[in-house]
Amino acid sequence: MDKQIHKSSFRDPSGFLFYEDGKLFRQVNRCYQQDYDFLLGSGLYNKLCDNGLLVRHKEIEEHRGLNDSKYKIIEPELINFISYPYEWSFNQLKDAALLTLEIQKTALESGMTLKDASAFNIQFYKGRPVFIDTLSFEKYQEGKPWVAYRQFCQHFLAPLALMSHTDIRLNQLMKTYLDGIPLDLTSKLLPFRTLFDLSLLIHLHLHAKAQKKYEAKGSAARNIEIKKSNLVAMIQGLKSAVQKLKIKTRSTEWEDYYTFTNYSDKAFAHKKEIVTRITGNINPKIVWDLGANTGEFTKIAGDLGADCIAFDIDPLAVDTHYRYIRKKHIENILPLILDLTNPSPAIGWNNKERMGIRSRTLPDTVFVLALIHHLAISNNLPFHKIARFLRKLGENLVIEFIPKTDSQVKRLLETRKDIFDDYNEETFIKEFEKYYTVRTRENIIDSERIVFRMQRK
Amino acid sequence: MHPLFLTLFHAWGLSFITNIILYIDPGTGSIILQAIAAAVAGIAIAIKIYWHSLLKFLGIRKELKSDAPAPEDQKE
Repeated sequence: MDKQIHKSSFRDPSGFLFYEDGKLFRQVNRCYQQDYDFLLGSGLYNKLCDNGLLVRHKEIEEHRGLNDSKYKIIEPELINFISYPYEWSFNQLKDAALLTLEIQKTALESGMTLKDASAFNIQFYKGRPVFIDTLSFEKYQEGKPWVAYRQFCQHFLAPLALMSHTDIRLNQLMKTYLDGIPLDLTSKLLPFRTLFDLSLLIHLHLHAKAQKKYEAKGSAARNIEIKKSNLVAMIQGLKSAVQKLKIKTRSTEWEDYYTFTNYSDKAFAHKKEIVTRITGNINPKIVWDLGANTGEFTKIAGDLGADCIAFDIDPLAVDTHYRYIRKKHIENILPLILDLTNPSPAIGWNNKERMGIRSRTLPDTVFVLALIHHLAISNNLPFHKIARFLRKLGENLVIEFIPKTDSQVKRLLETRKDIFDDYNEETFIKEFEKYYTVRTRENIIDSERIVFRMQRK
Repeated sequence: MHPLFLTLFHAWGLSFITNIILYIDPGTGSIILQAIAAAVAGIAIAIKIYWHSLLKFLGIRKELKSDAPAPEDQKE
C-alpha cells in the first residue's frame, strides 16, 4: 500500500494527514483523545458540520494507523482544489475570518476553543469557506485567554485592514509571511486615520506595541485570566471589526473589461456561442479559466457541470466574481487571484509546505480567452513558451488569438516599441502545433479574433 | 503611538484583570493586549445593554438588537 504523510502536516502533535492509495486520511493521536471525544460527545462537531462550518469526516474503524500513537483514523470529505490566502480576494478572506470567529464563538458555547486560527485551516468547498482542521479544537478552561488570538490578528485582521485601508494588493504579503503579517509591519503600513478606529487601534496598533514592549522584557512576563463573558464580547467585537472593513469601489484595470471591451454585442454573443459549443463537445470535468476576469466565460463551463477554477490577476475582478458566485449559490466555480507570469510557488518549510500551482489538482481543459496578447506583448513571452506551459496543465485548450490589427492590441503597442514581428496567426499556429493538434478554428464575427480548440499531442 | 498612552491604556485595562502569575512566553504582549481588549469589549457590551435598557425604560427604543449585521455576501 502506498502511504505518504502530507507535506504540510507536521506542526501539530495531535495528529497528521496522510495519503493512502490516493485517499486522504487523518490520524488522531492518543494525546488528542480527550479533546477529540469531547468535540464529538459535546455535539459541537455535529453542530459545526450541520451549519456548514466544519468539514465532515467518517471514522475508519478497521485502519491500524501509521504508528503506535494512533487513537483514531478519520477520512475527511475531500476538498477538490486547495487554495491559499494569498490567492483569495478581499471578501474571500473576510468570509474566512468571519467563519473562524463564528467557529470560535460556537466552540466556546460548547466548552471548547480553537487552538489555531490559521487562514490555512480554511478552504473553499462548494462555493463557501469551510474549516478543515478537525484537530484544532481543545477543551476551554475557564479564565484562559484565547491562545490563537495573535494568529487571528496576523492571519485575518491585519491583511483585511491593509487591503481595506492601504492597498488591496497587500494580501500578497501572506505569501512572504506564512504565519500572518507581522503586526508591527501592519501598524506601520496602515494610514494614520486607522488610529481613530477603536478596534484597529486595539487589535493592531496597540497589539503591535504590546508585543514589542513585552518581547524586550523577556522572562518578566505575566499570565493572565480573562473572564469568559469578556472573551465572548471580544470575539463579537472582532466580528464587528471584520464586518466593518470594506474595499474601495475604485475600478482596477480589468474590472470594467466587459464594459469597455472592443467587442460589439454581436461579436460577444458569437464568442459565447463558440465557447459553449466547443466546451460542450469536450465535456470537461475540470476547467481552469486563465484570465477569467469576472467569470463571464467560466460560467459556460460551470453551467455544463465542470468544476472550475477562475484565475485572474486583478483582485477586484476576482472579488466581483466571488461575490457573484456567493450570491447565486454556485458551488462549482472558485475564483482565485493568480499572476500567470509569476504563479504561486511551492513555499514554506523545505519548500513543500504550500503547494505550487502546478502541484494541485490539474484540469483537463484550459481556457485562455482574450489573454494571449497580454502574455506575448505585455510580458514579452514567446508563443512556444506559452504553449509549453499550457501543455503541462491540461489536455484540451480553448484559446483565443487576437491579431495586431485588433484595437486592444494596438492600445498595448501604443506605449512600447513593436518588437513583436512574430506576433501573427501563422507563427502562433506553428508554435502551438509543436505541442498541440488544432481541432477547430473559428472566426468571431464582427471582430478580427479567432477561437481555437486544441488538443495536447 | 505614544508610550505614555499605551501605559495608561494598559493600566486601565489591567484593573479589570485578576490573578496575574509570572511566566515566560514570547506571545506575552499578545496575551496582555488580549486581556485589555476583552475587558474593553466586556465594558462596551455592558454599556450597550444598560443604554438599551434605559432607552427601553424611557420608551424610546423597543428591543435590543441581538447581533451585528450579517456578512455582506449573505445580505445580497
